[in-house]
Amino acid sequence: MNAAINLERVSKNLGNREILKDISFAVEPGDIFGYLGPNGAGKTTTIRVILGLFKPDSGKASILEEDISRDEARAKVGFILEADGLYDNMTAYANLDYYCQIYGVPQAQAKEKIKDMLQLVGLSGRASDKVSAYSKGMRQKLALARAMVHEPTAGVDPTGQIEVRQIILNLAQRSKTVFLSSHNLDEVQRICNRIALIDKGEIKLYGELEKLRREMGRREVVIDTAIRTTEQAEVLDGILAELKSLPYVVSCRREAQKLHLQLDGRGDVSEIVAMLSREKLGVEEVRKGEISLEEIYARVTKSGE
Amino acid sequence: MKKIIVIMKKDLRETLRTKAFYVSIAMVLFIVVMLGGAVGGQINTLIEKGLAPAEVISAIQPLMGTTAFMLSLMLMMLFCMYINAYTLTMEKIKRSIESLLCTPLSLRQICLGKSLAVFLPSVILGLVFTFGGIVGINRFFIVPKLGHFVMPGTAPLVAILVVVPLIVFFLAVLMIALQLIITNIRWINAALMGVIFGVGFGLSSTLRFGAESWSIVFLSLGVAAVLTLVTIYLSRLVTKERIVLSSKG
Repeated sequence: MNAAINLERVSKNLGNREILKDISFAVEPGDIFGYLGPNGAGKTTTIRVILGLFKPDSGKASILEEDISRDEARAKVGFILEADGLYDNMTAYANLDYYCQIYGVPQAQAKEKIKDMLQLVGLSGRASDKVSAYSKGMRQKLALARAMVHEPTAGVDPTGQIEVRQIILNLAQRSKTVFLSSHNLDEVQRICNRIALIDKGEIKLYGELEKLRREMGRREVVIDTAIRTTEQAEVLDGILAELKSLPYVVSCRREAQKLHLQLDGRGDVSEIVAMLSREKLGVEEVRKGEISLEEIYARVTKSGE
Repeated sequence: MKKIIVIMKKDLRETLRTKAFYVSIAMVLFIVVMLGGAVGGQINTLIEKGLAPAEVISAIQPLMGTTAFMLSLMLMMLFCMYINAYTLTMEKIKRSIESLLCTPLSLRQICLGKSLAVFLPSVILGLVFTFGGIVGINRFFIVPKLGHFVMPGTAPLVAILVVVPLIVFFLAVLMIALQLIITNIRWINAALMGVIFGVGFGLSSTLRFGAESWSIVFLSLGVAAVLTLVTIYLSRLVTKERIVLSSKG
């Protein structure tokens, strides 16, 4: 399948600063792609390259296999930037109408479309208010409506107000690709199916979110011990030092009865269980650890420091 | 062309909502009245010399031509600066220009739309006030004494209606190009003032040929050509990247 967004070995310098270092990733049609990274990592520059605002110094960026510097390619893209780009002196309706005209939506359809979009984001009651009177949340919703003015309305249910998250999910269901750059990891975890993590201009992690969580979580092991007494707890603490010295144990800590271990690829849980049994510390359960996006993010960005 | 007009109409609407626009009109009205009074005084002096009406008219006509030419140039450039200062500066401060650059519009369409939004009202208002000034001078100083309506000659009329608007068009494009790529608003204002004074001084030298002379038309065309070359050169520097990076401040 052809990628909706494709970046191939893109590098970008601004002045003497190397902002993007040979980055590559592809976003497939229907993906909700989370693009993560700390401040100054290169997220905004990547987005500017994708939207054709910046030309890469080397490498290639394309949208639906078209060079984004072509005006026709940009006609297929809706966007919300950090600065929402709304005109404060104009009403919500006038803002959408302006963009409808820019995207060449026929006048006859524009009126109906604007009405639908405002209803969809729950702003139909405030259509004739100036945007300067809008709250930040309302501005975001209006910006989302503006990002969709070039979209065919069919398939969008304008009958009732729905949450922004649901709108994004609906778009993906219609095989629309969503590229989401956010610091809200919880939100990204809830809605994105694939992610890329950029740090210091380099892609540190890229792939399907669930797969990444599984892969990174596979090395996380939680052992529920059957310790009941203080003496047993002391024995377990004694074993911790021994466990840490094992070549395949990356880290090890105890939380009450639970033993949290991070193992590398050579990890052998059975050896650890045997060690605990030798010390007469019962093992009730051995689980593969669940790893959240937040933990992945922290681990990847921390390892780069 | 349709999309250029969309941008132009939106910018025009925004301009008409600003106080600065109406302040500029009041200021220009004041300038026209003051200048009209000064020219009227000169005409009175000519009439009081006791020359025959035909001689007075032939003496007044070059004066009317010079006045109308300089007035049109000055007013159009003033409006150009006032109107221009608002529309794009706000777009850069609010960074709505960045969103506009991500749409299917080409950079040329955006520049032209914004330039026309500055050029059209500047020229229309400049011409209205210039011809309003001519009518006023005739109504209050010439017609009551000579019974004739004196218009500028053909050469200054061609300059006012064709060449000055041409200069103002390239000036507007140049201003937009400068505003798009320069970060510091103070630098932009200084650059704009430099361009306006450059054009003003450049053309004031033409007055020694007399406004009735066709030389004024050709020299004005020369200024327009220089502005065209500068605009073409500068337009090469206008890239989306420069616009976005200069919008940060």
